[in-house]
Amino acid sequence: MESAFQTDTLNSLLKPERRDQKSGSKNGFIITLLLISLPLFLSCLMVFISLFFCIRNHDFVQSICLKQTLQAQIQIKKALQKLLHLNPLADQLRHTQKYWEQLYREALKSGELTTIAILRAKIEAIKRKRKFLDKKQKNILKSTTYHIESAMTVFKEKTRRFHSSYIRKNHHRPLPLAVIGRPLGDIAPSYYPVSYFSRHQTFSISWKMPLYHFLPKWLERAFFRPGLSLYSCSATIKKRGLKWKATLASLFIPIGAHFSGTVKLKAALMTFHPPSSPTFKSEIFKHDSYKQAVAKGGLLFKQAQKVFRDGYRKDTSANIFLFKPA
Amino acid sequence: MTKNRYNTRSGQVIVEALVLLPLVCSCFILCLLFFQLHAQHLWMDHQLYQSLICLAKGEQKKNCEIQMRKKIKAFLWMGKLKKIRFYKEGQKWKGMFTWEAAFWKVPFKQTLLIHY
Repeated sequence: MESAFQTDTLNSLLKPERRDQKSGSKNGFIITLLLISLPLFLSCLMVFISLFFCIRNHDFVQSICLKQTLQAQIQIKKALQKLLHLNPLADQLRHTQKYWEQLYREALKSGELTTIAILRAKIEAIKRKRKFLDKKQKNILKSTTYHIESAMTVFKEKTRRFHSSYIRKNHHRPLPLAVIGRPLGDIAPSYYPVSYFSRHQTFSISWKMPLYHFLPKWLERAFFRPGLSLYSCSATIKKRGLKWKATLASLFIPIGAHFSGTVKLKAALMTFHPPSSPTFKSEIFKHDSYKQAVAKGGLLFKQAQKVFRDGYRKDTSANIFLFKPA
Repeated sequence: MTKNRYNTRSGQVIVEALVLLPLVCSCFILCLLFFQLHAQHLWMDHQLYQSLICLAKGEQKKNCEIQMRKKIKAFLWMGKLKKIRFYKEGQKWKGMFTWEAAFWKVPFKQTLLIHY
């Protein structure tokens, strides 16, 4: 009969692995636990780092946007001041030409050839001056386009490394200066800011953060509706007393740019804004477009509301104002 | 030779785990807390800057403050905002507040430069 000692010794010599199996290979359990928790730790770290970079990048791009839009409006403000400064001259030349033309008509009736010739020469001289003034005014107006394009170029250059997409400039006139010449169609008219000048004058840049490029299309479409960029900044020109000042503004979207061809609206005028400016809302209903729409008897408010909700995401950080362009 | 009952390694892992798991868990929780506090700090800084932009747009101080509080509170697990102050200094908008939680008092300050 074998003794216990012999059995143990025999077992240890012949089958060493059996002893290991009996005691169990639980060595390294803590290391395994640490290795399991490491991905969790790393994912938390990645989330934090992503958040950090997203916010910092957004702030950087936004500060560039603010600077560029404001600088563009400051230059446009100078152009506006130059243009308005030419108005007295434009008025004087127009009235002078009218006066000489009246005298010319009287001279034609009287038949005095000398007077007719002198008056004709004077009228020609006035017309030449007015043409020169008209050219000067148009150059000032064209220069505003340059300022806008320059702002957009600088913005794109400085944000290139963020691969921002969907950059869009918005301004609501054929030219970036919201003025109208009176008399209409006349050469070298006097230019005046249009009504609701600050709203029409708003220049904004919109962009989309590159993070969304990594989302699949169906997910991006589910959360981010087309037509309205996620981020934007705007600037405009306001009159404070006797001075014009460039200032930051809220985003304005003209209805024509986004609803054309899709919905027939007799009028669509609505406001979506954070509950912070009741006076702003009351101003909307005094707007001419709204009054005209009501007078025509067809304010398809519900239809416009539906189109707006389907097409846009409500932006609670900006005042979004839709109006029918003049 | 009889088998030594007292010379066994059974239960070693449980003992080790009992000692080390609380340490590992507390380290993990501390790290999470560290990240969370930093993320919160970042968010509050960001919202303060956004509120200055809101003021520069011509909105009322009270409305910008309410918006800022709302957005910060959405991610604020602990603490309160106190001594919120916005003012204009020349061509700059300045904003500040203090975040207070238990014995912590963290001041926040931001400036927005606007050229006219």
